[in-house]
Amino acid sequence: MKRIRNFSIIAHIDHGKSTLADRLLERTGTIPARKMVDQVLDQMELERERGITIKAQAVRLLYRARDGAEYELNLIDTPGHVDFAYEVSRALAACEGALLVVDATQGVQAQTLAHLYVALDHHLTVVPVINKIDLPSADPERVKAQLEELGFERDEALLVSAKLGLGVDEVLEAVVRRIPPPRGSAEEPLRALIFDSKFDAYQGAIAYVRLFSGRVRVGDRVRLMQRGTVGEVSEVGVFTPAMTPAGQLEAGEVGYLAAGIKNIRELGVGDTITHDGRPAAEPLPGYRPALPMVFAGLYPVEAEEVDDLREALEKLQLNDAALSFEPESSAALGYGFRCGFLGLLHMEVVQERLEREFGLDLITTAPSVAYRVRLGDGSEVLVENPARLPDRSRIAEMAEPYVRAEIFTPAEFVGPVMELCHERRGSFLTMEYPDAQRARLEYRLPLAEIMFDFFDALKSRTRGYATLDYRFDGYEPSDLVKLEILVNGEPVDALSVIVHRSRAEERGRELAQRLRELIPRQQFEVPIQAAVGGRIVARETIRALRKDVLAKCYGGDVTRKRKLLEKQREGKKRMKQVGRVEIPQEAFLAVLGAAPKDERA
Amino acid sequence: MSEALPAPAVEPAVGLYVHVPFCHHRCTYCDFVLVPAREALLERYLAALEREAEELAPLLAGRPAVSLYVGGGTPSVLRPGQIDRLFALLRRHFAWLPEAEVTVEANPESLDAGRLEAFLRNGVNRLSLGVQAWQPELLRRLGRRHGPEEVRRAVALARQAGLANLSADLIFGLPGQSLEAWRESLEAVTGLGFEHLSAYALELEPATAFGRLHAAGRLPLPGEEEVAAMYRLAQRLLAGAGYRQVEISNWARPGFASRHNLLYWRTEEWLGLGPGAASRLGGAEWSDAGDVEAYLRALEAGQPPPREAGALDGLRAASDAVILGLRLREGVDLDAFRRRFGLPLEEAFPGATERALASGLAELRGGRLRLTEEGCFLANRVMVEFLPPAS
Repeated sequence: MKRIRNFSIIAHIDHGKSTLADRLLERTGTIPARKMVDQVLDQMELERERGITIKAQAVRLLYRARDGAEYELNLIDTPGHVDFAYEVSRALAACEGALLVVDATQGVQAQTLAHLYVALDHHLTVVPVINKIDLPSADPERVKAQLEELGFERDEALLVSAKLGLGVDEVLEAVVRRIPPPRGSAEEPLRALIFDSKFDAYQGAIAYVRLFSGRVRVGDRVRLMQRGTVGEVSEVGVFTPAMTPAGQLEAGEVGYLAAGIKNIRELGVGDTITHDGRPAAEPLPGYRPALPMVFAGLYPVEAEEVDDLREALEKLQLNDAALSFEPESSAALGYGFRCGFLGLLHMEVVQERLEREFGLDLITTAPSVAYRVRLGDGSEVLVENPARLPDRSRIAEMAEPYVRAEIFTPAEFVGPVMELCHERRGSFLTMEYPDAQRARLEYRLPLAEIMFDFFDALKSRTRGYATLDYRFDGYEPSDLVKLEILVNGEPVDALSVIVHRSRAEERGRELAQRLRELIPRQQFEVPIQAAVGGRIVARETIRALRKDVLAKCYGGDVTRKRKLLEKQREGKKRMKQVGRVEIPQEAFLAVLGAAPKDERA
Repeated sequence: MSEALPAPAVEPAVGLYVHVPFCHHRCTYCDFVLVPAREALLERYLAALEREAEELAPLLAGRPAVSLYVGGGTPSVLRPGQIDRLFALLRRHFAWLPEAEVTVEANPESLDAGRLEAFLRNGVNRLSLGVQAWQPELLRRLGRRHGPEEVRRAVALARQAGLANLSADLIFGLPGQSLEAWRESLEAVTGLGFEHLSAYALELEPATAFGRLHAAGRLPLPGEEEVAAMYRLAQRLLAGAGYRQVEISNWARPGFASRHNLLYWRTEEWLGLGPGAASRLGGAEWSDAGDVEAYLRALEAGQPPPREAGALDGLRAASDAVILGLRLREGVDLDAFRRRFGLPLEEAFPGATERALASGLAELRGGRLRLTEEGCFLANRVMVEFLPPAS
């Protein structure tokens, strides 16, 4: 066990975490250089395409250190986006140490700090790594000074260019020398922390585990200490990074375990696995379940796919513990599910995975936060779906969720950032200058205001330099109203949103305008109206379609014209008939304003 | 009378199409298969066409065609001697009925007495003139090289030669075209006594000068409302002038509907010769691949030209029959559909008829499903209902 090291890499987005992980894999011969795909640990197609890490991944590296001994290094990769901070926390609970990667050109950013604090909460040994030192604008001295401010020694940081492979050996040596080996004995009762899981069609639920004590072999009868699920171990193994069966796993090690557990809900991430016959006295400290912050309805375009959607959501939930869902129905959209997400990126990722991995055609409604509504009779309800907001006459008070946001920005943009926060109903908390060039601002903001295009707006007002981190900070009473949308005179429940009264008219106008652009013209004129409490606050009109014809069609044109019609039909497919009007998928997300940008990731 | 039996299979009518892929220049809206008319190419073309005719003739096995259509391109770029050779080679390999409709397309400026004589001695009885517009500035924009005078002259020549069936092509929705200009064009061609008119809404093809200008935002097209108004004007004005609407974009005096075009819209059969020509015969469809040079080279090497083929299996043929049939003002005969495809329209495309009728764009009249007058310019919305299920 003295030769085992369990560690994570944490970093602000784009500071080079995945590239460093690739170099470590390459240098230890885990994956020969010629077989390297860029960013090996981002296994999902989606992750590679968008250049973001969504899921924690684990891999075992075998490293012969300068002391001549061979070490087993277990690297647990973590997501970088603020939406997935929860996954970071889970990964870190399985480690003794972490590499904190900081971009030599950008320095410490919002998520650098957020991740560092989580690592310190877990009592991890943190090794600072200054990356991208090959870039002309790199300023490692400045970054060292910033790290000193955070409590590191001036010369603690390693200087690395993951891209060029510079300093990678020193990183491996530091992992061996600075990060402590795991403690705990293989002779004690088994305690294995489930830090992630996935579903396998043949083996059922597979747990990603870190053993804190004991050992586990194929054939053992095991039990989940909190859920009580019992199963027989059918396979144990390690990640090389492919799942490779091993005879057993011992205290200190990281690997996976299948125990014939078919029902994906019975394998809870954060739970502790022990032996059924010789259980441990206490489970390991689990995780707080991640709280979904953003809710949206997911509906199949084809009504009969609703059961497929349920099954797909159940499967996704197994390796996405933060995803919640329950059935709901909409007058406009039929039967579907109200799903809870960590944030908008999480929502997009879930939607894309459902469409790609499960072949579903989905309509996503406008996302909403959860409002606390106190009724006249004193009772309280949580409203996650604007369509379900009780009638105005029954509401005594509404409260909305707030977040505490931390923004790093170059000093010259402090004005625009403060202006933006003010526009979004934020209240100023503190501001400080960690160095002459940069400011750190703290604001308290309604979650609903930062959920949509806040990050894009922040980026555009700071030429892309500002960074953001936020955490939930309680509920507060607020003057909120329901903004209803009427299409062709009929209210469409799935388009309604809850907004602050002061912003209702402006949002109504924006929404009506966007819908006018998104809803294709019909045979007749279609009015789009936004209403608050029965009063129309905005109106747009979609003019009637006058021409939709292929003027010429003779013998030689038949095939081509048929293809044009087929293409037209494809477009129609992704629309939902609401009353007499066909509404395309994107319209239900119109409330998001501009299409969500990938740069947010 | 006992219950109706399925009608015996009647051999469908068949027509011949010959594509002459030559023009003196390319018009700004045209993306047809064509090359500049150079003498050496014309010679190679006639030789290659003979070989293709030889290859394909057995498919018809002497079945006489009801129509022969020579289109392009510009068939009138052929000199009289070449016109004789073209018809001679067709006669060597194919037969057409004595009363067959024999059409040739021509540009007003390239039609002369010699060519007209050559057409007539080879049995041509219908001439289709590319008039397109009446205003010199619009014609220039289209890249046309004629003016109103050339059209008048061509019509007079044709009439003198004894041609009793003339057709004109017109385009509306052109950049810079007003409703009034469109009215002037319509009145001019009806005034010249054409028996048949085709009036097309401009379709922008990406690989044309217009397409590129449009992509660059530099084509001042009239708005959709205005284009729709031009279409309605054509419907009204031509009805008033004694023309009947045959199809979405075609009008004819009684008795002058184009037999050849009806082959297409009634999904009968046709055999195409020449680069880019399409055929639909014996439950299959194919086209000669577009490139003129590839066509010539293959046939010169004794090979068939490159072709793209598709099978008309399952609902594909039924779908084509409805979609093309709906283009005709007569619409789709529901009994005939059932006899032809062995099941009622409603079973072939469940729910489609009901949705089409509910939209108000289609109607049932005398056992036929047809577009309403309003439906003609929104035809796609009805047609997409009758596509075969996506594979």
